Amino acid sequence: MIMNHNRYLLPHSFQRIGWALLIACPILFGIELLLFNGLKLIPQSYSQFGTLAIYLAAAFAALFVGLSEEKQEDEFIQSIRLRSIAQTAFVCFVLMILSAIIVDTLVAFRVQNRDVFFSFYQLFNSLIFAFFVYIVIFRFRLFKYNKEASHEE
Amino acid sequence: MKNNIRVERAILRISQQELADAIGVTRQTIYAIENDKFIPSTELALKMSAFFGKTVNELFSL
Repeated sequence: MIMNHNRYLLPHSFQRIGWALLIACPILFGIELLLFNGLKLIPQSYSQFGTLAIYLAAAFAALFVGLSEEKQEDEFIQSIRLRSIAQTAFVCFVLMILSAIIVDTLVAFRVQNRDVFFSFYQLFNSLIFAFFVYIVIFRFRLFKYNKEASHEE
Repeated sequence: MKNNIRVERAILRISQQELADAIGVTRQTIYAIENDKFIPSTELALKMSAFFGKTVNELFSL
């Protein structure tokens, strides 16, 4: 492929593993909720291992899907990647600032039940979240160009 | 930057996919170049030039 002198992406086969992990994450999360919180079949002390496993699965899923080559990776797709990274930076920056302002305001006014907002604050500050935002933006752009190109011969 | 890739392709009567396959890119790339949504690298421009048998200046203009 053109402009593929510097290979910094994982091979395409990693993307399939990533998607499989991504699908498995909500299922594993559901099982964990059921076993630890619902049915309480497994002691609470094992819950941390379950949470860690889901966190690692989500992290590797984001890494494999976000940073693996497309089936036919060329310079146009690489330019889409670059633009998607720039947009991701803007989106995450805005969300990070907004969540910081909201959390600080809630703390200042001593609002009850603000833990959920702290969770969002932590989420928006995480790298995995940024990876998922990037995946959504990149996939949307690819889909848009595929759709547009399909109308031409 | 403007180009007449679409015209040259019409002269040779080849599809976007055929051109893409010949120069080793995706059909989306050819679509984006023809519609001025993407400026190709020097390497890709030279490959197109070799494929159509024209100079880069004949294919692309400012």
